Amino acid sequence: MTAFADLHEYVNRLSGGNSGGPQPLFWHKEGRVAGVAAATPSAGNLLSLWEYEGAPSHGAVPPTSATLCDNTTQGGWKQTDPSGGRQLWSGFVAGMSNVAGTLWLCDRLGHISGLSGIVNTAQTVGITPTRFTSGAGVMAGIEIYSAIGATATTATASYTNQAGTSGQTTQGVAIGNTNFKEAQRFFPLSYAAGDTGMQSVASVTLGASTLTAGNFGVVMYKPLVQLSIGAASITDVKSFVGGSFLEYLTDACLFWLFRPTAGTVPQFDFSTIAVER
Amino acid sequence: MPLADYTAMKAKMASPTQWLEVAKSIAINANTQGACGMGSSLWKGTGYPATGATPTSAAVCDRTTAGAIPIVNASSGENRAWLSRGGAYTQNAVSGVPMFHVQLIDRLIHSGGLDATVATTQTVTTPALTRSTTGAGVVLALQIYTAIGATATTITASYTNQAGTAAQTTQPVVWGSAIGGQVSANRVIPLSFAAGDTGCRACASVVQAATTGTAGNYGVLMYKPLSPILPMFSTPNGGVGDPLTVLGGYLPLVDADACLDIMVYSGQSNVSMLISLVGSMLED
Repeated sequence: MTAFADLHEYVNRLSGGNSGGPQPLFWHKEGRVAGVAAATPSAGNLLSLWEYEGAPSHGAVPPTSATLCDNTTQGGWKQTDPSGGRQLWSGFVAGMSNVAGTLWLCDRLGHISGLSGIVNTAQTVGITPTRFTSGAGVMAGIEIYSAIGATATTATASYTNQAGTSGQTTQGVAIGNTNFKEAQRFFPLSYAAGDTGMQSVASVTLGASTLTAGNFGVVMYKPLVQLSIGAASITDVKSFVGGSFLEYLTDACLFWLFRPTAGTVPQFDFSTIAVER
Repeated sequence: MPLADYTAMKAKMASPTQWLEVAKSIAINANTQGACGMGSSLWKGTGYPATGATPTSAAVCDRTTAGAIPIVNASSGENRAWLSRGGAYTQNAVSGVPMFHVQLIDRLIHSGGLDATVATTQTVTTPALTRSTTGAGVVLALQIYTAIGATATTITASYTNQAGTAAQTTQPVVWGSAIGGQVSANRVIPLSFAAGDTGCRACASVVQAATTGTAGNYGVLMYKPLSPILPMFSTPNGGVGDPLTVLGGYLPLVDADACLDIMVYSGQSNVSMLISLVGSMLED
């Protein structure tokens, strides 16, 4: 299947014709995790909204063994999968926050938690996604669930790249110390030279102990669309009509990343429309 | 009934079956700056349509409820809403060109008369939903009708989720904090669902962790978002937009007997505003 033949077909399916099954989806997120205020963000540092509470509900801290995510995973947008061999396409994505910054809607492919901030040997990850299996454009990031320590170090991961070459090692990313140890922080891992994707992540290694075990994990994900919140309370809307429609793969676990411009705990409102074809 | 194609959509947009008009004055964010992004309902605004009544016991809202944007049910097909133009006029001096946002909602059930000094369970017991009856995508929120106190605490609600499971408890949200204008009249504060939930069929009660210091008057609001949160500028010619270029062609379905209300999100603190919106209903 491909995206819509033309605007006429899109409008018909968007309004429910031809098994379009339109799904208007909304999501309000509070800056609260586990019943209390979320960790204070820092300007310029990425944070994951996975655990942010709201409607639909927040995500849980991932299991301590590699787990694949799908559209039924608690914490995702929980859209209904298409049926009848059809695909699911988005007509627009919108987001608003009371803190300026940049948002990314991503497909969370797989995750793991339970990694320790005091272990400086390879810690097993073992995520092999079942979506975007070529690995092209697939990324991995470190997500912190409980604060790790204040000693700065770096983290690398061993992975299989988009060409199927295993044993690749990411470039080191900073982790530990102020603004790099707090819960909900998210650190994308940088590919080895020449790579453009990941098919799997085998393990992650810290350069040194951060001195606090905490709890962190690895998330494999595919960025889908970027929204820019130019100032507090400004909405950004990306309409795909007239361009290339965004596909939500069957079983996609949709979640958000945010890079704020201020160290204020944010809240958000999101919306999208998904149509089958 | 689905729209046949884009040609049919344009034809219906050119010849709507009815107009949606709102011109209401309302005070928003009466507290200090920081409330940006938090919604306020136009329900109690003055102007057109008439000011909605402050609810008491929990009740179903429909298109005949005073305060609802007047609509006529589709005669044979379905109604779709198109907010085509709007503006916000601030009655305070503000710098620059503030951004405001509006959202069309279907006000399903509301209640009032809750006391923000009471730190024990306050019964709400909402009636059965008559629209969006599965509860999927229904937002459970609190609406403030008379300002509550500024002593920060938290609040939770006991509700039945989208699967019909009763006695779910929302995650605690901040309540009564002067930060963010959360104490102001007209403020609507969405509650965060329990783990795994995506909607709400009913609300049984609310409970505050402590008093906010002022009784005020608040209640539960269960609503279905219909439109995305749409940007407007505070100018006389502010537009909401062409649905195709802005919203991927999305014209929200409006259920029969919907009680249409507008949520306003202010990009400016401490303002009194006149919100003017023009839209239309397209029957297909």
